[in-house]
Order: sequence, then C-alpha cells, then structure tokens
Amino acid sequence: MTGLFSFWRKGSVRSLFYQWGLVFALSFGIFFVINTAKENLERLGIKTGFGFLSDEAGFAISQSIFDYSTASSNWDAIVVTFANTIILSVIAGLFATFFGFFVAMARLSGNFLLRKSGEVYVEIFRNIPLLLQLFFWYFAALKMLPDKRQSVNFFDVAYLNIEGFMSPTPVFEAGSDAIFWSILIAFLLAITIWFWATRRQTNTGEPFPALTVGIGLIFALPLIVLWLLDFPVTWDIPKFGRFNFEGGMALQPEFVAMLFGLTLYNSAFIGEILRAGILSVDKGQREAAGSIGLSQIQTYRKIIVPQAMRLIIPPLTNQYLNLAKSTALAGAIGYADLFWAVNGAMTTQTSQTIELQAIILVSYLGISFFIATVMAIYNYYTKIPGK
Amino acid sequence: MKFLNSKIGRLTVMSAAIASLGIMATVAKADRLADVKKAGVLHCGVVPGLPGYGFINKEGKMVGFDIDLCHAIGAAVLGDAKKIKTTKMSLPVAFNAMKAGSVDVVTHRFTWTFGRDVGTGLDFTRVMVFDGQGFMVRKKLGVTSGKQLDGATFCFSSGATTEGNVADFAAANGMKYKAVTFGSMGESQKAYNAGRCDVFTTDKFGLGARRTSMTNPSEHMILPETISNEPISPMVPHGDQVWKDIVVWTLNALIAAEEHGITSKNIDDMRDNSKNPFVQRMLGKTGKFGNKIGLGKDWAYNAIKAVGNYGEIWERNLGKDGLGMPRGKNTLHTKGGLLISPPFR
Amino acid sequence: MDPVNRIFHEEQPPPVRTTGLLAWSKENLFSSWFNIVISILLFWIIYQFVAFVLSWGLINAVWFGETAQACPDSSGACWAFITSRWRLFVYGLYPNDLYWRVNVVYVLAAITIASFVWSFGKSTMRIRMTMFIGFPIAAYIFLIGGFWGLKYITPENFGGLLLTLTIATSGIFGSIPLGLILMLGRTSDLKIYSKVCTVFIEFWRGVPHIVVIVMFVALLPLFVPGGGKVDIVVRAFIAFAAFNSAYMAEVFRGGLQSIPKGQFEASRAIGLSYWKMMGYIILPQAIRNSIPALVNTCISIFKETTIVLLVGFSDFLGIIHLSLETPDWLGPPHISTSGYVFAAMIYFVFTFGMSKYSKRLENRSNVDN
Repeated sequence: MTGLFSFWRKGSVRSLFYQWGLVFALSFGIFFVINTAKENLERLGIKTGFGFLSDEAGFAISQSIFDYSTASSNWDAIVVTFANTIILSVIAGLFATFFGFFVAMARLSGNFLLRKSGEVYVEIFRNIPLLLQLFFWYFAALKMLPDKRQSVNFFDVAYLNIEGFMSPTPVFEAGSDAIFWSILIAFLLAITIWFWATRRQTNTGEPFPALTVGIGLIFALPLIVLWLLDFPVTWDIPKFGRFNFEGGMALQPEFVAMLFGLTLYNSAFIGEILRAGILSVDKGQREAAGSIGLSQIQTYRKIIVPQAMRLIIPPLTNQYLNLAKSTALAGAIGYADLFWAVNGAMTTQTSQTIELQAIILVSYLGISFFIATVMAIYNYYTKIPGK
Repeated sequence: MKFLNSKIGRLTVMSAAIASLGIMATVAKADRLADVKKAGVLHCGVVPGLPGYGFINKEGKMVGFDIDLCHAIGAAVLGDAKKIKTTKMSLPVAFNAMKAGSVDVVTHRFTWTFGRDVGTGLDFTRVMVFDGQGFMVRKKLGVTSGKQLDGATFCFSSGATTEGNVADFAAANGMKYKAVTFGSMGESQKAYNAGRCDVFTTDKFGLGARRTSMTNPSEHMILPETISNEPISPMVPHGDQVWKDIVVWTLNALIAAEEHGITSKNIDDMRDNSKNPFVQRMLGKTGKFGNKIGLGKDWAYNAIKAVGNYGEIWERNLGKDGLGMPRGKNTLHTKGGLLISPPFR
Repeated sequence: MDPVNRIFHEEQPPPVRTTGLLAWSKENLFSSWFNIVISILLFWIIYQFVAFVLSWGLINAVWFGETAQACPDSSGACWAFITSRWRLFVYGLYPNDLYWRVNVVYVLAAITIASFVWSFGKSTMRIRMTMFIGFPIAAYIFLIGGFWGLKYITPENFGGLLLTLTIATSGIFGSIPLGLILMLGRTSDLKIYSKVCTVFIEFWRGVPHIVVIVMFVALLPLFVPGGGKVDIVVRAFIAFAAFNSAYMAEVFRGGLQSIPKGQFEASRAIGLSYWKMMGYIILPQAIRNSIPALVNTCISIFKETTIVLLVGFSDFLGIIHLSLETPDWLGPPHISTSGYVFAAMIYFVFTFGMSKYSKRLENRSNVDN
C-alpha cells in the first residue's frame, strides 16, 4: 500500500471518495427506478402527463368551500379536497391545543380526583389507535343524532339532525368588500398595538392590556363598518325540502367526528407536552415571582409560560405534524379529504397513478414543511435571549 | 471525514452498487404463465367484505363467487385448485396492484368500462355477472321512483363506478343530490343503516344481499330503476396475450360446462362417455386445446372438477345456498339469459 | 417552669391532623369552593360512568350466540360477536390444523417481553440480546416455515392479532437498526451523507403513513423489477420498517445529543477511531438514554398498524371490521360498538403495558443520574 496507494491514507481523499461513491450510487439508483417505471408504463401502454387534471372529475364531494360540481375538473377536485384537509387540520389543531391546555391543568391540579381523571383521560385516548377512535366516534355520533324529521330546532334558523348541523350563511351584497378590509385592518392594528405594548413594557415596565384591546378591535371595527354601511348582508336560512334542509351551510357529522376524534386523541398528547413544559420550569422561579408580588395568573403568563415554551415548541411541532398527517385517515369515515379523493375516485378513473402519488406526496410534504417553518419562526421569536 | 473511515464505509458503497446491479439483472420480460408455473401458486387480487362475492367466513376462510373463479383459474393453470393465494386489498389498491403487476388476476367484481379498459394498463377478460346499479330507500319516505330523489343524500363507496353513475343519472334528470362517499362498502351501508343517507346505492345484486342484513329489512325497499349496466369481469394486466387467453377460456369453459350439462359430480362420466365433440374437445379427450394455450390437456376438466360449472358456482355463493338471489340475466342464452360461451372448436 | 419543661409537662392541643382519610380528603378534594364543586361533579360523573359500564358491559350483555339475532337489545354489549369469532380474531386465516405454530410464537413473544421486563442479574443483557435477535428468526421459522418439515404458509394468511403483531414486530425490529444507521449518517461530518440522510428522514416524517403503505403495497413492482415477487403483506412489513426508521433515527439523535461533549473529546484524546468511539463509548450511552423515547415510538408503531385495514388487510381491527360486515353479524349498531370496544381494550392492554414499561425505565434512569 506504499507508494502508489499512499494517497489512500489521507483522510480527506478517502472521505471525498466515499461521498462521491454515495452520490454515484444514489443517482444510479434513482435513474434505475425511473427507468424501470418508464419501461413498465410502456409495456402497459400508459401515457404519462398531467393532462388528466383538466378532465371532468365526475364524482361528488360532500363538503366544498369552493364551487364544485361533478362537472368540475380533476384539478378543482384536488383543490377542494386539499382545502378540506387544511380546514380540518387547522381547526383540529386549535381545538386540540385548547383542550390539551385543560388536560395539562387537570393533570397539575391539587384536586386528587381531577388529577386522576386527567391521567385516565390521557392514558385512554393516547393508547387507543386513532383509526379505531374515529370509527367509534363516527358511528356513535350517527347513533346519537336525531332523525331528519325530528331535527333539533334552534330558533327556526339552525337545525341539528343526522345530516349534521345546518346553520344560515351570510350572503354578501354590494359594498360588503369593506367588511373584509375592515377585518384585515383590525388585525393589522391589533398586531401593531401588541408590538407597541411589548416595547413599552420592556422600556417602562407599564403593562397594557394588548390582548383584550386587540380582540375587541377585531370584533368592533367590522361591526362599526357594517353599521355604517347599513348591514349589506342577508342570511340564507336552511329550509326543509323534500328530504332534508336545504340552503345555508351544514356542518356534517363526518367532519364533526373527525374533529372530535382528532381533538381528543391529540389533546391527550398535547396535554402531556404542556405539562412537561410547565413542570420543567424551576420551582424557584414561581416562588420568586410570588415574592415580587405577581398574581397567580401573572406568574403563569409572564414567568412560567415563556420559559416553558422553549421545551414545549419542538414536541408540539411534532404533534401538529402528526395531526396534519393523520387527517389522511378521514376517507375511512367519509370525510372528503385530499387522500380520499386522489386514492379513491381518481385512482380508479384515470390511469395516472404515478402522477397522483406525486401530487399527494408534494401536498403533504408542503403541509409538513409549512408547519415546521411556522413553528421554527415562532420558536425564534420566543426563545430566551442568550440561551 | 470521521464517518466511514473504515472497512464498513467501503462495504456500504460497494454493497449499494452491487445491489443496484443485482436488481438490474432481474429485469425480465413479462411472461406470466411461466412465472405462475414457476411460483406454483396463482396470485388473485380480491376485495374482502362483500358477502357472496368475497368474504371471510367463520372458519377463517375466504369464500365467495370471486374466490371460486380464482380456484377455477388456479386449477386450470396449476392442476390444483388449492394452489392459489388470495391477496386481500381495498378497491383502489387492487386497481393499482393490478397495474403494477402485483397480482396475476383480479377476480373482484370490477365493472368493465371504457375508461378502465383503455390506456390504463389493464385488460378485462369476459363478463361473468351482468348487473346494474339500483337504489335502496326507506319505505317511509314514500318514494316510488329514482326520479323523485331530487335533493336526497346518497351513500356509496369510493372508487367504484357507482359515483359516476349517480352523477350521470342526476345530470340526465336535472336532479341535485348530496353524496357521502366511504372508503368501503361496509361503512356506507352502516351509515345508511344508521340513517345518515336517504339512499344507499350499489349494484342490484349487492343491494339485494345487503337489504337482508339491515336492522329491519322490511323497512327498506329497492326502487325499480336500474340506472346503469354493470358488466362485471375479472381483470389481467395489459400486454400479455397468452395469459389473457388462459383466463378468458377458463371462464368460458365454466359457462360452456353448464350449457352442456357438465357438473363437478358427473364430469368424469362425461369425459369418458360423452359423444358430444364440444365436450370431448373441451375436457381434453380429443384435440390439443390445452397444449395450444400452454396448459395441460386437463385444464378445463380440472377447473370444472374443482368448482363446478357456472350454475354451481352461482348457487353455492349467490343463489339458493348463498344469498338467495335470482339469476336474472345471468342464465344461459338458451334460457333467455345473456351467458354464452364462444364455441370450443 | 422553664419553656422546655413546660412542653413536656403541660397538656397541649393535638396537632392538626396531616394523615388519615379525613385530612387527606380535605387537602386533596375539598381545599376550596372550586375544588368542592369539581370533586362532587367528578364523583357524580364517575358514578354514572361506572354504573353504565357495569350495566352495559356485564349485566345486560349477551355472551353467546351465533348471529346478530342473538343480540336484539341495544342496552347491553354483544360479546357473542366476540365469543363466536375469537379464533378468527386471534389467528386470522392461518390454517386451523397449524394453530400450534402460532401458539409457539405467541409463547416465545411472551418470553421475549418477560426478558425485557424482569432482570436476571449479570446475564440480563446477554439474555435480552439473544431474545432480541433470536425472536424474529424463530417467529419467521414457525410462522412462515417452508423448511425442516414445516409446511410453507404464505403471510397472506396472517390475519387478526397475528397480523397486527407481525407488522408491529417487523416495524420495530426493522426500524431500530435502520434508524441507527440513519442517525449516524445524519450526524456525520461527511456533508453529503448528512444531507442525504436528513432528506430521507424528513421525507418519511413529512408524509402520511397511509400514503407510504399504499405506495409500497400497490406500486412497488412498478418501480422495482421483481418487486411483484415480494409478498404483498411483506411489502407492508418493509413499509413499516422504512418510515419508522426515520422516527427511530430522530429518537437516537435525541439520545446522542444528551451526551456531554467531554465524552467525544476524551475518546478522541485516547486515540479511538470514529467507529471505536461510537461503538464503545457513545452509542451505548446514547441508546440507553433514548430507550424511553424508543418505547414510545414502539407504542405509536403498534397503534399505526391499524391503518393497514385501509388497504384491505385484515389486521386485528380489520378482521373485526370485516366480520361486522358479514351477513351473520350485520345488524343493529350496538354490535359494532361492542366490536370496537373489544378492539380498543385489546389495543389498550398492549399499549398501556408498553407505556408503563417506558415510565419505569424513565424513572430508573432518573435514579441512575
């Protein structure tokens, strides 16, 4: 190995060799897989391409926030169901966090019964497979909801029956653009006030109820605008047709069961994450906060939570990722999510299997990437300086 | 630099390269008959959960019409009806698995449509059941025709032709409808049973079978309309004509057997004593039909011996010993039905 | 009298009770108005719940019967569904006359679990390693067979609890070594290895598992020649090992990060190569630190096995689900509720056991530190 091969002894040379070896092997592997797929598709007579996206979809979607009918294109179907996935993920995420907070509080409570109930709750919902819970809740919900002809009536404007919760929808008339603008402006104002209040508190120590004012603004401003414009909104109230209520909007049991299942399942995890975060804050911090005269709530808001966040964010991010991914199970109980549409109807109606898989992968990777990025940004702004 | 500064590093790289080359060496042209014979087992894709067609019975065995077709093909190709493997898949997975060549034949009841046959990498073989889609509703709704279902909510399972048929029917009659689509037939039936939907829709034979298993069968009725033709046919992968011929002619033999009165019980007698030249050729007493499609001369004999003729398969699973459904159009052409086998000549 | 003597000689009021049921309940249940309300409310809820469970699950339940007609009444559970089909739930489609092979594997599994729960003094580690490596091999020999006079049984015939356990086991036993390799790659100084492993890990962690399963189960032969020869159930095993290896890699990376820098520096200082340092110093500590998180990942693998029912497999939940659709048992919804409750109880026994085990390990490692 001397002489000719002495360069081999040098670590940097070897490392380069290994790395290029990997690059070579990987590109070869990828090329090989693509080549095989191409050969197989040729043999089967399948043409590749995304042209099928403009074809007529031909299947109905039970919940859509955009205009959709069976005559819409496959692309529309993908957009609508992707939106359904997002809606479900976001709302379930909010609910699970909110509920998880109460679970954590129960688990940390001084009340023995409450503490134990929290523990039992966590152990049960965390340890039973999500899919099983979804089946259970869906069919339990259907069993409990009243028949269409015995709907629960809420003031003649909203109804609850086995097809879901039917409520009026606002119909916006001319001039209603101003409402959306006012909501946007209120949001921006609230954020500005929050920044200003934080700065003032760091500089002068004087607190300002930024949260209350902000929420107040977001509600008040659009209302004022509405009033000024003489309420350019009418309501589409559900009416009983031949089979069921028509018009308005419906919160369907499939969606509610998904929401219920995802919330209960994930809140058990989130509760444990929050609890661990809160427990991680040194006891001395709490005592010190008490000794300088902060109230219990102030201690939590100003001392405990900001420090606990550091430990909470990474596992919480993971939990949100899990939640978003698990919405792909929705098709099992009839909620029209992306995976349901692509893997169900489209797979059997088009021959573009590979393209469909690519669409699914890109969509879910996009969601995951988005959540990870948002949480990373949040983490950056909430981390304790110097730590 | 730290990583892989050793033998293991080189081994990793080398084994990756060798593995790639190894995979490359296995590239072979598709010859499914040879593959099946070599493996000694026929690989059928079935979708479980459909009573009468393919479901797991109490003893833990897959039984049903689809499974019997698989046994027949297995017996024809390998001489032994037991040498089959039923891969249980959901409907979209079965579709994809067939395309990808994971299974040799899908005997699940897939409807033969243009969109599924052309350019999808699949081939349909021959129609084994003539069915049509119908509607089931609760009697108390007072509906007598499918055209009165404007505004109703439909329950069905995803990936079948069901969705498209309802969409077409609604468009043709200017109806609006709401749809709840489930991953499997079982869920959609359960949801309908619970009252989630006004209408449960699937193929009529399926509806008939499922009405009997509702909480109160007498509360439900099947509307007279048949909104579609559902010719149901086993599928094979596209591009292997020899294999397709084998499946098609095995299925034909089951129907021809019924026409000529051959059953699993009298088949030995028929082979030895029948004077009918069709029967003699089919059962391999004369001629070389078996050899011509690459099988032994007993291929049709084995298939029929194993599962019986079409009529026997029907009665065992869907007819009087199974779900108790009438044969409808699925009788021989000699009795006014649609079943006809091209002659064995 | 001086103060000390006074304490000893004069009668004092008894100190406030800090033990006993009364004091305990005052402190833990009724310490404030809020707590009193909460406690009473919870007492009531728990009472109602227990009463309902007893009447539904035991008193009004139907225990035996062959069809849905056995359970006409929805006020009680329909355990007849379970008792008439339990063989199917436990053994799936495995040939009836070969159930003994499954039983052998179940017993071996119990022994393996026991070897990880109890300790056997000095030889504990050796026994555990033997079981860890030996069990999958033994399970393969008995379940699939094909040699030594054991008839070949295709994994297609696995079903029920057997399929759930085999998928979970192959997921766990396959993903641990793969995860270790990925972790080493990701933390490596070789840029390209690190990048490739990071992309690989993040890819698997970013897509829903059901998507991966569908891809492996349905589409493998499209991309890999000869993939069609791999049994479709085995493909699910591979898929489980593949995406869970990404989670395992992150678990091990967490363990690696918990190791103080000094350990690396010290091993370098005494002249150990990278592999020796990793093999003798770092990995043993890293793995030990990551065991609680590893057990948690095992729990989620076990729970995740249920999603194979969506591609049509009959795992434990899947076969209960399918059985509910057979003509014998399709009927009133309380039968399916009974089926789901039973499934939930069985899954709970496994996952809760594992989570208790991980708790115990966590507590023990806290004591060590």
